[in-house]
Amino acid sequence: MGKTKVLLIDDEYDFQELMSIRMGGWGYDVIKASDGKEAIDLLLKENPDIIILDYIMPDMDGLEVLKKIRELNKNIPVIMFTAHPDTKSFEGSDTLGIAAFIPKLSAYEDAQSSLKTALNLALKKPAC
Amino acid sequence: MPTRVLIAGGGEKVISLINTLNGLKDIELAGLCDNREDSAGMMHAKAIGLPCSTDLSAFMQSSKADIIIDTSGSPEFQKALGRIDLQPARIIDSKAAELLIYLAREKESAVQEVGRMKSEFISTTSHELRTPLAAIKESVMLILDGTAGEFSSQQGFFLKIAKRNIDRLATLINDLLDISKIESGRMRLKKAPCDIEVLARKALEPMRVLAEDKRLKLGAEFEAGLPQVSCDADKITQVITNLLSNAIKYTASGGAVNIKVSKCLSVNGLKPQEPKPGFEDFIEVSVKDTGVGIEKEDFSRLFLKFGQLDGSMTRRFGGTGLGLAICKELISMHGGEIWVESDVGKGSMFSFTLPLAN
Repeated sequence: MGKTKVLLIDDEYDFQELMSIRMGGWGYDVIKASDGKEAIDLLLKENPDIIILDYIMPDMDGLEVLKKIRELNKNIPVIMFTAHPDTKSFEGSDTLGIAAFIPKLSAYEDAQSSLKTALNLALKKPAC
Repeated sequence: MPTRVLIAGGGEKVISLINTLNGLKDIELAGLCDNREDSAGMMHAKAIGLPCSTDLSAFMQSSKADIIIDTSGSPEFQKALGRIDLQPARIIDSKAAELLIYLAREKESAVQEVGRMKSEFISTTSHELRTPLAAIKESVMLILDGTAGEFSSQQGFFLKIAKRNIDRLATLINDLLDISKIESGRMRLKKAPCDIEVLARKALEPMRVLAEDKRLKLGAEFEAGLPQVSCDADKITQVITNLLSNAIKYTASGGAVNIKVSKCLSVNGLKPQEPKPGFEDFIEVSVKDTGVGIEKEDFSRLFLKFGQLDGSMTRRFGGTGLGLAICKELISMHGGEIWVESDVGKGSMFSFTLPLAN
């Protein structure tokens, strides 16, 4: 059985690199996209198992990207991982099947362990 | 400072004038003055609790009005007004009052617009601050947790300092955003029945490292069979985290911090000295420390914005001085109360109550 494929959509290059190393360390195969268009291409081409999506990106924001994803794939789990302050109050977010909202930065709390838990829950299996 | 307005005359049209002026933030109604006790305006003013009088002279002096709107249009009334020392008030007629209302409305919408722009600016800025900080924290964490290989104990010591200060900065950004939301009335709660013990344990987890670093004993006591509370889980976790991190911050090495959650009888969310009939059930959460303590006269100031007791405390212990003000606001939005008990040199105990679900 191959590794679980994670499509990471984030326009911040540094953060994308760091998360890729982090999730690679957890045993995932990480595919990176920097904007909505690239994400949709990779969704079709690579057939990932789960998506981690940033909210604020140029051109298409996270919610628009998610709407496009849902047109193509209704079931793939999507985790919103964002530095946006009002993460949980996106209009229409409740109907788009978001598995979890994880803030990229919170004081004291370790965002990585929250993300790991969310990945395990959404995939219904441990990372590695 | 709002403009204090006194209305003279009690005709029918005064009723809508009172209602309009009452709805404007920039205007404060000082009262209504008419020579008839039973005029439509007087009856209405009395019904809504507005100060009224038929004694024009005395009322003018005591009301300290900036503007008097003369709605009477009666020459007799104006003559009477002319005999009174109105300094510094100005008299305007109903037409000019319309202009006053128009200007007050314009000002109000301009203030609202500035408020909206301010919130939007803080929201955008906070995102722009969080993004690089998240990358910095992640880099530090990747080294600290060994992903990037082994590091010396001195390197580890410096990295922990970096992480601690990243957390401080993250708290500051979150606090500024919260205060801005509270001030602009955009803070919303997502209430649901919650298990308070679960929230408290979640808040305790990241505190263990901070307590260990300072060699503090961190304890927790949960009363058996706690009922669920009605709350916004994230916000209450935030309040508990704030109280715990304060307690850890203000307690010297070797001390103790303890959180206790129990059922309590309280009135208006406040714990009574002696329970009396009619008190409702609440959950009480207390965070006790053996820290520096707080003088009694400073208790109320603690919960004010930037109310940290003096500048030297900010420099010594860090923090924004916003945390407790946010806690107070969040707890009162939940229908609870927050308070402090303290003995200087012995320690403090911060407690809050939350109503039970249903």
